[in-house]
Amino acid sequence: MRTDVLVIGGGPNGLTAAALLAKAGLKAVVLERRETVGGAAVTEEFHPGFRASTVAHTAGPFRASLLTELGLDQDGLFLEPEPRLFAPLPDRRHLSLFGDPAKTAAEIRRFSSKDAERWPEFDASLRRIAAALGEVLALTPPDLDRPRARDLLPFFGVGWALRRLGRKDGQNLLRWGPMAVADFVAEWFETDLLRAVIAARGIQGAFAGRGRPEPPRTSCCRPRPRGAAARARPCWSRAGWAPSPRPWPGRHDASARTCARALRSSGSR
Amino acid sequence: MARTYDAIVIGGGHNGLVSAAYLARAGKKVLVLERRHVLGGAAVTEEVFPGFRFSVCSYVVSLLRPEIIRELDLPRHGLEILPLDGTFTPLPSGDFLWRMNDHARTRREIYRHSPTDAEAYDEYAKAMVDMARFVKPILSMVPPDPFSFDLPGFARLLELGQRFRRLPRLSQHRLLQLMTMSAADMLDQWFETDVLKATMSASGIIGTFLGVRSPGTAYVLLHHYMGEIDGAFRSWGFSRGGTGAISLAIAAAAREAGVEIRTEAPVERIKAKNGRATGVVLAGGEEVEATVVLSSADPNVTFLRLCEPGALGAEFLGEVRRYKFRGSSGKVNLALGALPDFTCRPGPGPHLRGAISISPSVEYMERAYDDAKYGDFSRRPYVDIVIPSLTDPSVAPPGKHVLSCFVQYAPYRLREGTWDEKREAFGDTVIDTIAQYAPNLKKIILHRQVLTPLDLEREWSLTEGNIFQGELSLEQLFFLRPVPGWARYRTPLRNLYLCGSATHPGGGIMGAPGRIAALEVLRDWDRGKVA
Repeated sequence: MRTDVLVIGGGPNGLTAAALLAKAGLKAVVLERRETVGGAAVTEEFHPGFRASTVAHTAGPFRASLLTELGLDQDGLFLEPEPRLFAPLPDRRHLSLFGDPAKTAAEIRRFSSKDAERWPEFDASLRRIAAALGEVLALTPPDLDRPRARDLLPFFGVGWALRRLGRKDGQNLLRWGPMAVADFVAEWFETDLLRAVIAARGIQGAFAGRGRPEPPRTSCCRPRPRGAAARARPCWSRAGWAPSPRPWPGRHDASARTCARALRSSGSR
Repeated sequence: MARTYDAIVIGGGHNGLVSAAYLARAGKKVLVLERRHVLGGAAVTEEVFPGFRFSVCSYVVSLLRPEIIRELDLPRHGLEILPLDGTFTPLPSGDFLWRMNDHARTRREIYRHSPTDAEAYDEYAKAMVDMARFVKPILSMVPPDPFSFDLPGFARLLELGQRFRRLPRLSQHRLLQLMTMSAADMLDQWFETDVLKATMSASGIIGTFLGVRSPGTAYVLLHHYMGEIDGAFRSWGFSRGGTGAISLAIAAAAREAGVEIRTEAPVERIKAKNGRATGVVLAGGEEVEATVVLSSADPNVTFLRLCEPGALGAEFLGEVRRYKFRGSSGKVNLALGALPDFTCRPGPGPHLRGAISISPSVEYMERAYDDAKYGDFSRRPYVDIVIPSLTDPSVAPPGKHVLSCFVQYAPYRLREGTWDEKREAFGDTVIDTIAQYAPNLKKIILHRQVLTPLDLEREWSLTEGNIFQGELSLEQLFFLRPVPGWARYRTPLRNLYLCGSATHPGGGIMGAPGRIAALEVLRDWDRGKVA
């Protein structure tokens, strides 16, 4: 067998790479070790009739431009549960966060009116910073040794976007970057549960405790897909700090499968 | 009538004195006001027990800027630095790790633990020197403000970028990693010997409320690596007569330049009129006027206690309140009738002349932090011990010794009880910890002084007992120290400047903040921005 490109591994990244290469006219073959594509983004019937997103159970941050490019956005791929997040306490109190900052603020007011007042500002400030930072996700990291102008140029754009944030947000970004997420949330809120819920987003996938610097940049400010605004209310990614659209279990591999479908329709196998 | 000066410096610590000396040398009439009876701030020598003189707080020196030593001619004023001979780490197993100032011997010693580490040690030392050389000029730089159109600032940043590009490739990669990694992770990349990593990682946590596995601590490690005495990197030393002798040498240089110094002169308030600082009011009501006021106190003391409410904007004060202190260390000073005898290397010997580090493993260090995270002092703390009387016999009666322990962690906020209740228990823990390695210790103690973070706050006005006037964590360094937008020694109150460790480049007996602040004041003066 002879092909232009072999992609090892049929997870979301392998499939995306293959799909984009195929769209560009190359013949791409994806080789997946398991019997199903998806890698860690996979839905399996682990018990007759029960299908679970076996590994990753929320999706994102999915690049909005990819949705369009791969023609995935017709499929109603993402669901947005409301409330986005529900956090119970052992003493029967609980906290829910919603897509709508005003509704979330009302919920937080049951714990602290001071925190409730700060929520919209927190929400807005992070959104602005995330939007500016979001550009970075689509860029190839420049080679430090032999930086090429074409890799570096977009970073001036990001730099400019960051400067445009203004003094306050810009300074906050620089300060928050290296901070422990526990310190970061403590600056904003007094309610322990609210702090914990936001901080929990800061330690997913990282081997460091809450008290250790875990850049809120990477944990809390994952930018939402920009183009998704057309379909979804402004909100950040599934893995972002604010609970946001997340595919239900069972729907999860839909993204991988649709990706695979897009792939086949563009000539890969 | 109030007396009038060109400049008043609040606080007679080493930074305040350095500022005063530089201003006076430029022809200004300067007054230094120190609250305590003795000069030096935390760089102070005191006869705590008759015949025993202790470097009560800060106990070793390495970061003192060579340009200050040169420009103020400190050796002529009595400064003499004696070398600190290596680091000795006893192990519970009966073994030890002893790194000496002699490179070949250290290499042989590390080889005994691991031949691969001995190889790596050479390369590591070279890499760290490379990186320290790169970072070092930053220490004498006024931080640029990335959010104002400040051309000289941009030029400095650009120059920094240029120099970064000229670094060897590997150093570039390492430096980028170093800025954000944890000390333990960084050392894992180099070495396999646990005790070597543990002892080295200790430099990464000093004065912070972080553990050796917390990201950001690798940079603190580098900060401590930049020490230089007589231009040699990574050499720490004692000053003859204790660290207070450094302050006294600077004070002598300042007096020679015409500075007037008053002790037991606590400032109660900074006077302000029309958005400008105009002088100070002393406890007791005496008023002293000056064209500019420099405060070497930390931002909490300066802005929240000394400034009148309303003299500064609410937003600025919000940022000041956000600045993290979180003192995490204490000090135990012992007067000894004889020398401690370590089981792993019995008898007196050169191993006692350097630092003795209780840091047997990386896990030990991290567990010490675990206790502190939840509001207790470490049950088995990291202890850095020195016995300066071996190098400088003038500090103790003949045949007797002073032993000084830097102890981490001792969190300022305790989960239960107060430091007044727990002071002695803390002292006992430290002594028990050392006695595990040197069992004769308890029998030879004549006197002991235990300093908790609360004591550092009460006696030295170090908020929350932070020895660096604020954590040396990445979000509080360079153009973010102490407050973003106000990292250039100036404050929202005109003619009021900060000149202490809470400003760039931070703590340690470095003197750099005091010097740069004074030069900035003079620059403003020349440009007519003062008065």
